[in-house]
Amino acid sequence: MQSFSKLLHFVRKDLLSQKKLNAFFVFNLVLGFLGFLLLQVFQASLDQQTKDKAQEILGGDVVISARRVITDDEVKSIEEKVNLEFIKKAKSSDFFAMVKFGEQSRLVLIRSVGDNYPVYGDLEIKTTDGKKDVLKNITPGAVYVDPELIDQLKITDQSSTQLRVGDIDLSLKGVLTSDPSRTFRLGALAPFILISEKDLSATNLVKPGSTVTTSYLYQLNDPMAADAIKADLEKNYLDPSLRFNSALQEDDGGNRVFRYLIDYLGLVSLISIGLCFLCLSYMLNWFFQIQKKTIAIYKILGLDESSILKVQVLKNLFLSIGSFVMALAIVILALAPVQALLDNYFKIPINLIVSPKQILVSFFVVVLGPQLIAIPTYLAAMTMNPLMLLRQELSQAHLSRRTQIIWAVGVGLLFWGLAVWQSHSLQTGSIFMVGLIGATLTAWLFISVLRRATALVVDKFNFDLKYAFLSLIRKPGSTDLIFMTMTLSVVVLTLLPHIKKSIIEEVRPAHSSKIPSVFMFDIQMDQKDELVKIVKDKTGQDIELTPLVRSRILKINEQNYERVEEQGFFKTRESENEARFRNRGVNLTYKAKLQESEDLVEGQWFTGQNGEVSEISLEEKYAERVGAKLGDVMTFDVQGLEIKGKVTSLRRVRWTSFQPNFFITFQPGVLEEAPQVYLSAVMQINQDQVRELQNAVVDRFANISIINVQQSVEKSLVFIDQMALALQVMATLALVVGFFIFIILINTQVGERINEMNLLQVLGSTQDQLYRIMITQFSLIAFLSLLVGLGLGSLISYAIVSAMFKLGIYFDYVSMLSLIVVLVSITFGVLKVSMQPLRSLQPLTLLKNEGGLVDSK
Amino acid sequence: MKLLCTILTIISFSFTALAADPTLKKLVILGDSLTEGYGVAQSAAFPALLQKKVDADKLNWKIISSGSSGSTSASGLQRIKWIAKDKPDIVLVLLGSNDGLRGLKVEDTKKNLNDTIEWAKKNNITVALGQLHVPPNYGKDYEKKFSAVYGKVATKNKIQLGPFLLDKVAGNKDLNLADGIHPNEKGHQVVADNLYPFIKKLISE
Repeated sequence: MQSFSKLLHFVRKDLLSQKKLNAFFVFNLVLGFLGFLLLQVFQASLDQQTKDKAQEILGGDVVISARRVITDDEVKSIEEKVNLEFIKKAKSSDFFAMVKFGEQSRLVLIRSVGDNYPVYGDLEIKTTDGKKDVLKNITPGAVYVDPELIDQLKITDQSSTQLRVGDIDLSLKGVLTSDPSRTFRLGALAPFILISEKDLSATNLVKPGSTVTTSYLYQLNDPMAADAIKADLEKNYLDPSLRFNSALQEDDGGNRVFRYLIDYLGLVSLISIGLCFLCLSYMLNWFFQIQKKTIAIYKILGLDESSILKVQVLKNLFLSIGSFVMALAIVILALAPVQALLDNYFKIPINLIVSPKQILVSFFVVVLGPQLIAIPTYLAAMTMNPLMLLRQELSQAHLSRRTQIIWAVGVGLLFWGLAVWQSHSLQTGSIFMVGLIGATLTAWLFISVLRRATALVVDKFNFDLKYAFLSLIRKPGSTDLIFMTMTLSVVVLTLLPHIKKSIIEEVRPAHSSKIPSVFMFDIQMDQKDELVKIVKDKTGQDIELTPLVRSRILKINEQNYERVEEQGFFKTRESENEARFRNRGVNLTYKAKLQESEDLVEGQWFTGQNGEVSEISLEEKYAERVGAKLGDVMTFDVQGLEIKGKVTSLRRVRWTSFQPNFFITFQPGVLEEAPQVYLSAVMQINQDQVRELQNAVVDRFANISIINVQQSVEKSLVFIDQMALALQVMATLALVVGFFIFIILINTQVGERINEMNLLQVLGSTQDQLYRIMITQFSLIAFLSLLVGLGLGSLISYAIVSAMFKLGIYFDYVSMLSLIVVLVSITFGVLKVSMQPLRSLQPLTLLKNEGGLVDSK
Repeated sequence: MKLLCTILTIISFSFTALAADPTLKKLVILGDSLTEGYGVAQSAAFPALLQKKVDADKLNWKIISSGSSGSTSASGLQRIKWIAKDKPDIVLVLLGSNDGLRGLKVEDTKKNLNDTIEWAKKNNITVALGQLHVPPNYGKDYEKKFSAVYGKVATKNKIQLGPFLLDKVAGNKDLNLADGIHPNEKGHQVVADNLYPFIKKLISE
């Protein structure tokens, strides 16, 4: 047993005697760490940014609200009951009211707010004298309005405008230009105005019978506890009129986008860990193989096995820590220029941060994690005799089955734990883990079978090919390792582009011509033709009208669908919510064809053949929610008339497509005679056209609500576009990390073969011949890895997109093509560069049995 | 087209079924989400509760609910034409809540209600109108003008005006769903209790 200082002496000796090899190892480690750290920094920063945005949109970490007045005493008792600890809170009351300016009167949505509003984000305004400002505090007597209200009330001079709100006059102080709480809220029935809570009672508008929504918005001491607090509130309060929300557990369009983004970022994190583990495990394994001779010498010289192990572990740790520090320094230095690039070029509003926690976590994941994976390699040093170690062929330790199982379970649990922790989801982490294990087994099976099959036919090839194939067949350990590492790298690299494309296709309309400027609803049957003419006249567009028929679901397969109270009340909040959902009626539509925002996922679209029961198509998640499947017969009450429909297809709907989408669609020829209204949208018109159209429609058909969604859609799209760009950057970054890994793999493999090539050179092979042999070997491995990796990666992407994101898959062929082109180029380029030392190697070097990575004595 | 014929046949069968008892008369309530029973089971909505009261009093009337969530008075004319196919004896018009909630001009609501009622009368259908109000947060002026529409329309068309549908229900959190607008099961019971004396009088005449 050696003392620690003696061990350090051996380590120092090892480090100094193999400078070239160690430098090469460190260079590759730094590349790997750099990729991991960059991905981690970007992921963590974007994750934080997304959560901040979600807080701004909800208005707090947690919100308690009700469609009624909530008294201060009531809210205080709630806070005490769940021990709600917060930094600040704000109160707001929203209600519709008529506001007057002179003879003009308009419906508005009033929000009265107290101190600390907004809790998160900035309310941007343009004051009446035209200056841009941020609204910090709403003084009593002041009112701020949406820009469209200025037009609707025909206000020409804003400076001295008084608006009549209920029983009081308020002074117009500015126009609201940006309100984070309304991102993804696609317009409301009426323009929005903001007043002080101190003026609320004087308006005399909120009294018994008023329809008002009261909200208490909280900034918590610990924002991470928001979801747990929400769950606690829901458990403690059965009063169904109270609603509890947390920033990331909303169910509207905006939060759906956020959830996609956060889930995606979780995946990025997993992938970066996956790549890092793959790369570093490979590196450690390779490093050990290179050092077998040194270990053998130590053994021959009588150093005990435990000390050899300690020396190896210590040396690898020193090198890994040194590489990590170097990579971290580079990342910190690169932060400012990368930030400038994101701000100025990509216009992604993200603050790159490197936190101590992140550094610590990264250190454990990338420095210590791979050491665990390398345990069998280390243990090999204990079990092998020096003769085996002196052989050049890669070999594995013969560990006992028990040790192997303990090691495999340990590594599996560690990686699974990391996967679940990083993705914040048991399901996602598990799918990823199972996918990778499946991919590993498939890749191993593939290469094993191929190796054996090639061995049977290898004699039929010419010398160059035969030699190339034999090199691969004779070194099964080495071949399997490089093939599996490359394949798994391609698998994980394939995931992000496919998933990114599927998310973007879901949230971003494919054609800008499909982005609406105004929505119109409550169009009556007898108003259709004239409305179409008005829109054509004012905008030049031929609008499509989507019919909407109200109905109730009575039965599914003759089983009652509606829920009634048991014993005069609902026993739980959940049973009441379920009953309200089932009893609230449904909107039906009818059409002959699927629209762009829909995909058929099961069954057959309407055949056009009319049977006794009409055909219906359900949105897949809705079908799941109501418990209907293909072939089920649903009975609807369409305003007094019972109509049956058989489910013949299930659809997937892109809800963020800005198109009118429905849960239930009937085949044509059934509902045409039923009472119905129509919805429509006018696409891509300018603000003047919007104003002109609004006036023309309201003058002719006062009942038609025409909502200007241009501003909110544009703001939502800006966010979606930024998000899409961020996803693209992440996917590209992951690809770059993957390219690093390829470079490392080929570099090390060529390094390993350099002596062999030198021998062939001595025996008379030309440089071109050697290059051809190497190209054949690596092209074959790269081609097969790409083939298997792309296939498996696409399969796992499909599983993740379907099971986790519940979306339709869109394959990103452009990225895949780029991946193939770049990886093939890298293979050729790195081979060319890494074979350069061969030109200067002398036969003497070969006789000394020293390769290109060994320092000359 | 074949299916449309099937549907129309179903409709005519249902008319025939009702017509099977020549003494059974029909009262259709033409309304919005309040009539539809938004959020409660059909059997717990006030039209079904009115039917129970009618049956309990052994009156040979069928109460038919024709509620459509979100509908405004503008839909009245189109929908009464649909209802007329069933040859109702009385139609109780309970439209206009959504006009008020959307702040539509009261003149338009008045015109739509008049058009609906005039068409019904021309087609020999007895019509009655239910009084509706907007919540106080819409302001005194609008509230007053809106409420006045119903009396004016009833007077002009010489038809009966029913009591305010949500009397004692509006604003009471124990009688409404979480949305604060639609009555819950208990609220619908109160609505039915409010309305029944008027309905009973209407069908007895």
